[in-house]
Amino acid sequence: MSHHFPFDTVLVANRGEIALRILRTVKRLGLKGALVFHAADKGAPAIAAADIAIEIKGPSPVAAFLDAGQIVAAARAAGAGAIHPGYGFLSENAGFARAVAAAGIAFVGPEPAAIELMGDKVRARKFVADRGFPVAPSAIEDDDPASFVERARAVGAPLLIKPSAGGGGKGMRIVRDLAVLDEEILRARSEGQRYFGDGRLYVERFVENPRHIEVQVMGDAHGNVIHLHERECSVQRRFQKIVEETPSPALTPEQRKAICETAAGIAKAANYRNAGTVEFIYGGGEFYFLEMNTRLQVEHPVTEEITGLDLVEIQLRVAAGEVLPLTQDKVPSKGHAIELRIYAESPARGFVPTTGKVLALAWPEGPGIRVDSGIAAGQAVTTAFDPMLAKLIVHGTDRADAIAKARAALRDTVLLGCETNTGFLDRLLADPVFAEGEVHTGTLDARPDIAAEPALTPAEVTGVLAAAGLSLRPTRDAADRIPEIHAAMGHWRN
Amino acid sequence: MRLIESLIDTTSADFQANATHNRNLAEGLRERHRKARFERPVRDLERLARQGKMTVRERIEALLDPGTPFFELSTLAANQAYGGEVPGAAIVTGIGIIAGQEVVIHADDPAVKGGAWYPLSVKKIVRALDIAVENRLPVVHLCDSAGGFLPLQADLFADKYLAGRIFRNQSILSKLGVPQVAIVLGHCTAGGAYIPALSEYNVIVRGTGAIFLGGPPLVKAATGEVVTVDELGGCDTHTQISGTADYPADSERHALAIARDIVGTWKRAEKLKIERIRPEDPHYDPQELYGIIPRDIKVQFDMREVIARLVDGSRFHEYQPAYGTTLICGFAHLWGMRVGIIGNNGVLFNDSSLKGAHFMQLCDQNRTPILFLQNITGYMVGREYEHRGITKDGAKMIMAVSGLEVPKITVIVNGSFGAGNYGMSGRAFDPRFLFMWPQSQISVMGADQAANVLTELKVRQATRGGDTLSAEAVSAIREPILEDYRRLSGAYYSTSEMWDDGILDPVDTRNALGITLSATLNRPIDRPHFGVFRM
Amino acid sequence: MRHLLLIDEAEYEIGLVPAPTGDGDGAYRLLLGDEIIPVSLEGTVLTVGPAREKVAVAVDGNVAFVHFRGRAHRVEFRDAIDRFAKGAVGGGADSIAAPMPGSVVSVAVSAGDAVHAGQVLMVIESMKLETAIKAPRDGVIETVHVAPAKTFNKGAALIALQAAE
Repeated sequence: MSHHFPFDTVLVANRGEIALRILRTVKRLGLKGALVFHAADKGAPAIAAADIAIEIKGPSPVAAFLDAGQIVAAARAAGAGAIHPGYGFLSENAGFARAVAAAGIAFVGPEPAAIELMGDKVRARKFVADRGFPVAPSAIEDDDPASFVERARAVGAPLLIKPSAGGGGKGMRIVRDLAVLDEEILRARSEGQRYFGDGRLYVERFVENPRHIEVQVMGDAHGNVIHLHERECSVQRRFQKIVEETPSPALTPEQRKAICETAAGIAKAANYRNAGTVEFIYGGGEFYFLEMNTRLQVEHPVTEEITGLDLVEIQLRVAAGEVLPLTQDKVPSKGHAIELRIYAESPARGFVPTTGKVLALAWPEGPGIRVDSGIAAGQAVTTAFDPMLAKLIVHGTDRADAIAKARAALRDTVLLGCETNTGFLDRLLADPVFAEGEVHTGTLDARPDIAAEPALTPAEVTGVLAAAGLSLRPTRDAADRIPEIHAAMGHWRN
Repeated sequence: MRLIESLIDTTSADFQANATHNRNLAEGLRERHRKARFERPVRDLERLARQGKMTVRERIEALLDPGTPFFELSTLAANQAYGGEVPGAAIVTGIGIIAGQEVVIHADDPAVKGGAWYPLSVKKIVRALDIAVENRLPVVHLCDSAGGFLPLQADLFADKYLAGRIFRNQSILSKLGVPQVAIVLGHCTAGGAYIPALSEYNVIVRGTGAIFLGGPPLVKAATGEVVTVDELGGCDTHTQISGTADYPADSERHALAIARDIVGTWKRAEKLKIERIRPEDPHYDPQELYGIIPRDIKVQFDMREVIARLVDGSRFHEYQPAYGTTLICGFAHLWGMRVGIIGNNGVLFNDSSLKGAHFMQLCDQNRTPILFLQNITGYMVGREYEHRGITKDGAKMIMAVSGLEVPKITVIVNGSFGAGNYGMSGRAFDPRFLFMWPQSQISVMGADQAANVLTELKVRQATRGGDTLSAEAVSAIREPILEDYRRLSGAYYSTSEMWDDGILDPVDTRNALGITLSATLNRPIDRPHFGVFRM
Repeated sequence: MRHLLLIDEAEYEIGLVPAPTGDGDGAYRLLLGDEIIPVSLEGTVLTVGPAREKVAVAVDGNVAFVHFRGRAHRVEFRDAIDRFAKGAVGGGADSIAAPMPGSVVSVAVSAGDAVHAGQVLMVIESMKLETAIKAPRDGVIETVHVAPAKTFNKGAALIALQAAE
């Protein structure tokens, strides 16, 4: 299908795997892809994939991607009629959305008002509660800053401190012992100020062993809103998602229907346009609204796998003013999909970020295997950006099939030069707690044994030492210098 | 080259008896090696441990490339000297592989009399350096010695080939462009200080290593100055102030690692171009050597059977097979390298002497190193042979062997008596290496013969007044003479005095020859040219 | 002297010698413990004894990254001289090294300041988390090697204390 787009060039204001992924769809649709990039990403495949690549600068690489002025200027220079912000950076910055619109460029995302509403966690929560959707007990600082700490204490432990302007897990802290509440509030405030320029907080009751379940929604400019089913994202560590899947193994079909319709209802009530995700906390049969993310999410591919839809394409069409391409009853859900986030980190050493150069890279291939990668061989992995290197997405006929495929794909993934979490992901998928679909957001913290690197078997030691010994110059050269006769005699003594 | 056809019956009683006899001798050799190498007084080992020192063989093993052979020379030097209290003469020498290089190792053994240098110790070090000079082999010194053994200084100091020769040889090595590295693991005092000083590279261990011409006690006695070992000649003094030492090391292992790195920078010598093929194990089992060597040295055996168990594939090309049959000459491969072999199969006659001299010239001409396998009682005597010029023919053999440019290696397989030793490249004729087998004997004539002559003398003296001696009396004179003579002509005495480079277990001979032959190829040789052959 | 290789942090001593030419080209013997194991590596095929398996190797200086049996490993060659020298890699309690790569948020001390054990010296940020770097002992700051906004790699020297008496 080729509908006429009112723009011929789309600027992707992002980097890494999502930039490449968006560019793929842009080009598939016959549009030109423009990209802004920072010098720190030299060698990234997205740069080569873009038709026009414009360098942006900043006091830090991250700062460059937060510079709305440079990005809009780049869009103009590239003749882009639309800007896709990806996720993170300015994707949920209402000011940026406004600036883009003011420049006469289509913002591939929701209206600024929706961004503002859902970006303010306190306002969003109130909006949702007022309209009868389920929310968890809480204390909002803004209601009465003087009594905030007291009211926070009254929410009771366990509780979660969150920055009002936050998102994506930044600045959140669990408090189980109210004795440390004051110190934790101070820390959370400092981080909120640093990351979002806003130190206001709110506190929410923490559901024990909660499951994080979110629903993909999509709206158009004509008042149509649909959901595209849920995603289970409970495999987390310090609020960072590691594995996502759909359908959620925790829900019955009835619960699935209820949660998805609630999400669609919230989106419709907010007159939501373009892609968004409504996040819920689920536990003991109950679910509460957590927050709504007004952007395309990292884990959107699993939704694409079970529905067969290209969400970025729908986003572009909505931004172009088109009606949603399908009605709710036509949204399929076939099989089971799992996404694994491949990070440059060392799970065995407390998940410290790792750095290095990608010396060798080979992704698994085959039916039902999709890799969204932002790196190429020869690239340097540094701490300049987020340590997520790629996403490995598998699609199987059912959950067991998807797990088996994912494990095989992880073991076939060759990424040498920078330590990653692929081994840890394989051990996680092999663990009964995952196989039984019993993972909640606290599982990984309670199971440090999964992160521990198992010892090598003697055969593995021999193989690795042989491969290394034959490849490293000092050991190989030393062997090659030994004269033939003496090598043949071996360790002989008279 | 044709596969040698073995004609011995390995099931015969004679063969079995020989085998038992020779295996026992080999076992005896192994046991004596073990004792000489590893049995040390407990207090000496404890002292080493207290000082944080490794034993000499631990040092050597740490120095060598793993998975490579180490061929030790003259393990049993001094085994019949100094009351047997100085095993190996307190020195370990050998040829090993370090960072891929063939090197000569000279190591003091601090667990034997503090590593003091006895006269035979000096001889052993000089011999190791002579080997280095003659074969252009780099040297690694592991220095840890208490210095010269004063009570025996008269036998280790003044003469031409005594202690001074060590330092002369070191200087000549440097002149020839052959590098040395000295690792100072203990004290290098007086003369010993010159070893690191004359090595182009040296490493010194902080705390235990020291270099000085005179130690603190001597300094105090000489000038009254009081100074500590470290301040006088320790690691930091010599690596930072005087420049006498090149590399400081924090520990022995650190020093050995540095030394390995140094050896790794040395240029590899260009090997002499000789014929080479892919190595092949002998077709016949080398273990059969035990059954081939007779229990009685007077019994003859076919040297071809020995050759068949030494050379590649047991293949041998015999030269002049029908002429001079008491000397076997021919070509074979040893560990892939082509060699000429000259081996005794009886007394040397005119024709065999001529054949030997001729074949040596042939090998020199086509640049083939020669392996001499000695089992010789001497040249034929008698009027017929003298008239035919046996003395001239023996002289021709000696002229030939002395003038050879190609490397020579000698193995005394059984007997080495009289002038036969000379023509067959005995010690005096500069074989690059010379080895004995456990049962071999070396003397001016056979023991029985010599005992007869000496007994005859004594009997004549005793019967000058007209007395006669009974058979028992004669026997009582003869037995001690014979026993003493046998001892002084045995392999263990020879090796004690360092008339050879070590006693080999016969089955070790092939590897020993492979290593030493390879070592001889590191220097160029001159064109063939000889003195005058008395025709 | 055997080579010291570290697989991640575990130490192994190996020897490597060529196999006799009869064994075929590119054949070697790995010496590990008391074992002598025939090995060879051709492209992505590793032969260990009789078994042939897939392998991927990438080398950077003295580090080999090996992908074998579904897992990636980092193998470092530690030179013998570095191994046995005293005062090798690590730094004493006088130097505080970065526990992970990241950037500096704030620095609370300067050269000459007296500090007590446990005192917060600086705050670093990595992986969206802030960590406080604390003094390992009582002492006096000798040098502060970094400043706010500076990025660093794991192991980088952050602060030096004056040598303890």
